[in-house]
Amino acid sequence: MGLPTPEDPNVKKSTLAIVKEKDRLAKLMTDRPQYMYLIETVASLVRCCTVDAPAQLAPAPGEPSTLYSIPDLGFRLSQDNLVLFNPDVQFITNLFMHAHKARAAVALSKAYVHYFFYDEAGVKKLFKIVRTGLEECDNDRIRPFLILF
Amino acid sequence: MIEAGEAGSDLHRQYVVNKFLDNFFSLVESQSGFFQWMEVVIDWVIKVTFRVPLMRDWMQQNASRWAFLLDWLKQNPTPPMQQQYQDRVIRMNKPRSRVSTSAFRYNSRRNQALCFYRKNSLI
Repeated sequence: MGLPTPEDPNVKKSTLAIVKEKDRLAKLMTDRPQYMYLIETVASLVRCCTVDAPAQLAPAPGEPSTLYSIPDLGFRLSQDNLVLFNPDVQFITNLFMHAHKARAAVALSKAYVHYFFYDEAGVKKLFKIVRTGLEECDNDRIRPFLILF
Repeated sequence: MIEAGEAGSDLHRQYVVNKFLDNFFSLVESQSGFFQWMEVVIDWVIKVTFRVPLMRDWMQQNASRWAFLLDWLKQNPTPPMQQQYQDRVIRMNKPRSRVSTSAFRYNSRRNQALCFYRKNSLI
């Protein structure tokens, strides 16, 4: 093979960069993407939505509508979105059960408490979720439900 | 929800004070046979009681509802041993749980004596 020839580091790096980029694109096409901040993003979007308050409990103009609201963008959840955000108790329980990281559980809890802030049935539903989760889960999975409570 | 009640939401405060906390402690009492579950919940109760005045006031006014926690802590100062499951009411985890208990059984300093007995076939 002869003596080793000096390598051009620039050429090698650029080749590596091309290979890495190809791998990245291939993973985007085939692998399951890592939605690291999906739950937080959805929670923030929900907290931007308008929540209907009863007349006697309506906040003063300029004040946030709920404890967890961030500046209101004037949107409401459509029926299609509600099917995803507010399904049955068991589904939401599973969602909390799989929120392993505290920040995801906190984000979810804020979003749900914001959305059901003036909704009596919603508040009962949230407690039912807490109750179901505490009954079904062992000590490693109950923290998200305690965060919601 | 407790925070929302504390922050001034009448709906949340009304439900938390009148219904949810009572239900919660009933649930805790019903699950008191699982050691690790109880430890996590009791930690949470202490933390929230320190932080949230609403919870603190409720606990002051309804001491009888959570007094069983003190009895439970007195009766269960250490984790239960698997060999004693047949004789005891308390279990380490819920049935079909995949939680590792090795941190309690083998690695914790508070179980050192029990580990010694087990390794030397004394129990």
